Amino acid sequence: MAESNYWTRLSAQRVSRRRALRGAAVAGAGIAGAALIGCGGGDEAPAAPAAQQATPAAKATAAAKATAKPALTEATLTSAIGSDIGSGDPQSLGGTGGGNWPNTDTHFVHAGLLDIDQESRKLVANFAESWEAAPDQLSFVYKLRKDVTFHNGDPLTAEDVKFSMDRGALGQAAYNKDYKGGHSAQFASLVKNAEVIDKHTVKFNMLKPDVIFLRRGLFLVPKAHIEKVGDVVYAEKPVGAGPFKFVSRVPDSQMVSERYDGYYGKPDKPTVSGVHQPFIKRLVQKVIPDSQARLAALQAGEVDLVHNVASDIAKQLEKDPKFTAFFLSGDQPMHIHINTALEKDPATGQPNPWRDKRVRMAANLAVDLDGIIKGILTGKERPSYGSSSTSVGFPKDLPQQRFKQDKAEAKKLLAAAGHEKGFDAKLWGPGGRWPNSRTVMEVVGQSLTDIGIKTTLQELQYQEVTTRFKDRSLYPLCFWGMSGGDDPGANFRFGYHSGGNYTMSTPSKEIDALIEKSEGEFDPAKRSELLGEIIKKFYLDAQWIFLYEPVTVVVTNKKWNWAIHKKTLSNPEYWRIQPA
Amino acid sequence: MRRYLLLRLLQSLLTILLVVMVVFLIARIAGDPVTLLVTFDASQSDINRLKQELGLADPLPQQFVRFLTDAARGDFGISFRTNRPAMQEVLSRVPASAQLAGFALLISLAISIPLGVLAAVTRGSLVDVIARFFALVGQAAPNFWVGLMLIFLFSVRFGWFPTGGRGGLDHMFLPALTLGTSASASLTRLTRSAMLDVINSDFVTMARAKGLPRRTVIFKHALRNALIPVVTILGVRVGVLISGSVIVETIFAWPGVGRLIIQAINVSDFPVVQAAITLTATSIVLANFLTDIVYMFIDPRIRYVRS
Repeated sequence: MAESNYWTRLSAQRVSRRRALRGAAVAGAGIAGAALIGCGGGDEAPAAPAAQQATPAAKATAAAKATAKPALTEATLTSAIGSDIGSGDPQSLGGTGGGNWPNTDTHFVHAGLLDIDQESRKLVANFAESWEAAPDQLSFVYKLRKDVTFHNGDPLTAEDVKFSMDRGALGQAAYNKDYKGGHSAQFASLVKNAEVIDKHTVKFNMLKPDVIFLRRGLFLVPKAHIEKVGDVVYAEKPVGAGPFKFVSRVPDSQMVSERYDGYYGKPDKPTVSGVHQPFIKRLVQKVIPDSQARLAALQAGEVDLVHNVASDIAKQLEKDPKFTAFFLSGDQPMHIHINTALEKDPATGQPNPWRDKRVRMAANLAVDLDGIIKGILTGKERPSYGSSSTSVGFPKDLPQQRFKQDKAEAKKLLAAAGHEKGFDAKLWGPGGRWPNSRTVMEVVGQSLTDIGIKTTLQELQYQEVTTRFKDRSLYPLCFWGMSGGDDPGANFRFGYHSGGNYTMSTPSKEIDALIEKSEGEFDPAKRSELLGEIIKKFYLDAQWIFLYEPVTVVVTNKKWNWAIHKKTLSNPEYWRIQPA
Repeated sequence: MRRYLLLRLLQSLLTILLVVMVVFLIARIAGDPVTLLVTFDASQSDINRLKQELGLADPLPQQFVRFLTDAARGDFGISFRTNRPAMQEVLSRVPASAQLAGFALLISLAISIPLGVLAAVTRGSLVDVIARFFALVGQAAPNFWVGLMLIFLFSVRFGWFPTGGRGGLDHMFLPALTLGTSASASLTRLTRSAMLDVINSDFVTMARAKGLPRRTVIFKHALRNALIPVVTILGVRVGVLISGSVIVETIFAWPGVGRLIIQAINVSDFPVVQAAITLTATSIVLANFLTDIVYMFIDPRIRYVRS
């Protein structure tokens, strides 16, 4: 892909009115070409993962600022985001409750009992200052901090925690039987009930042990306030206990929030995970769906920060002294899923060639992953080794055993598997769901064709892909991304295990057994060892065609400084951004 | 006359019903929305429970009958995404789309009628060539390209207008100009060709021979008759514009019906998709119906007879 696109080239030029008019006069002749080029901007990035790399200039500025004394300011930061939340209620389907719907607000307005330490990846205290699991893992007792208040001034109590679990997670809202908590489908089969022990102690009783229960998010909401105003009003004007308090929202237009002065984490005394009151006074998030229009808003000075900038534009902006580009490394590794669940090719009735490890190895060796990363993507992506982000931790020796493009070896492997003449394959994918997905699919398809696997592409709606994953009817390949979250083992059951909802692979019985064992292993060290073994075996067995960990690009103008703190996040750390 | 109107009304209702039925089926064929509502690790029993809660576990015919019965009462269900009534969600976007559509229509009429008339009466002149070139370019240029170019010029370079969002007149100008340009291109061509037909007809020659002033001949005799096909197209466009322009609303971050429909389709928010398409289909059918009625007032010669 070219280093610059039509938009950035145009933006780099100085345009006088005469030149603009001249340009307009010849525009007609260039329409067809321009239209084709313009089409390239269609790939919309989803709300994406983890943070990490800033440009060298940004790092230097960040380091300098880090030594300065942090100060609360009266500044307003205006950002441009690609999509709006469905609801301000974090427990509803359109808030964070809907597993895959974007959530741009609730990470700041609402928060939970525990948090993740960014360095150690361990669970740390947040609104709960301590917690204890029963030896049989069938109950958890949390002691709450006494200095946490909601944005309306109400103190956080055990009643609020119980209410949040009942309403959001278990779908039991006594005051409104019709309320549908978004998490109900996830939690209802795990949690029996929540019990108030005293004003600042609460207990969750489990139906069965769950090794990652503590890492499952539960946003806390104020009981008395919701019972008073009702669900509809609450969804329009949410009240949380996070570092930002909600001010106003016009659906699909903009959302305004302000620093919450009562937040217990202060710049000089942050929470255990490092969160504190925002440096800025006010945050305005404008919803601008088109990525080029978002960039135009930044260039026109209407916004200070833009989320989800296309990779080719990001490469250009990285060199622009007017802006700072931040490359947020992702926790949703991309891969080509291989259907080995079906014994026979449904179209021809022939045995499924992908069940042979040599064919899968050949496919991995056919792909020029470095070329994809440097040519199509931002160049900052890391190779993926499965469904877990490398930032979450996995076997240290795995990168040395990485598959690297070797077409001759790939052809040999195919021949050894009895496919000298190759065979046909279809590569499915959910269209523009991920940045540059169509282009990546084309390159992978061509690479496979080059070694004899004649590949054709077929795009589907995202939800159709998810539906067909369940009945394993996407054959034989599918471009796919899976978020591992904060725990590497969180998605093994549904993404790796042969009985999982989102796998069409059939890993060995040994891998299945390891996954089952890891789910019953509560000792962190032993569990970590098991997870590493699973990741390694799955990779070396070439169960998928492993691709990359995507990055999301955030660009700011020079008025702001952002010393990136978190390793994994789906949005900029607005609480940490301060005027330059 | 009354029988004709009744028949047209029934045809319109049938059209709306067919559209809604097709949308109902296609939305469900495209995938299971519950897979988007739950996290990846939800078990099958969890998914089934949510399907029950949302009424998606029933057989399709049963779901369709329930949908029609509720829709007849104006109840299109609750949006999966926002937890608000679906029709309320759609109606809340209509003012934005209608405002943009109204302004875009004004712009398109202000450009197309004078330009079309001028091109016709000065046929073969430079003005005619420019008008035809404008019509060609306006129709060929895709809205997203025109929109981005306008943003680039007038927002980024000159800083005259905001890049997007809904606000005052300044916010509306660029999106309305984008929509209006494409609409005016086709209307200019149509006005020009209709005018050419009319100014060569006998009654215009007669008017000229009577010594009527040129302005009277053009505007009172020729234009009035040439407007009939223009009104037809305009009627259809009004319906389409009110239902929202997906591309323009997306580029200019305009919170209208078009953008809502796309969002709802992306997450299989059936209630909103169904409510929005029902409203859209109704507005287009209604616009066509009204156009037929307006015909009779524009041209008294037009009368409906039973064939």
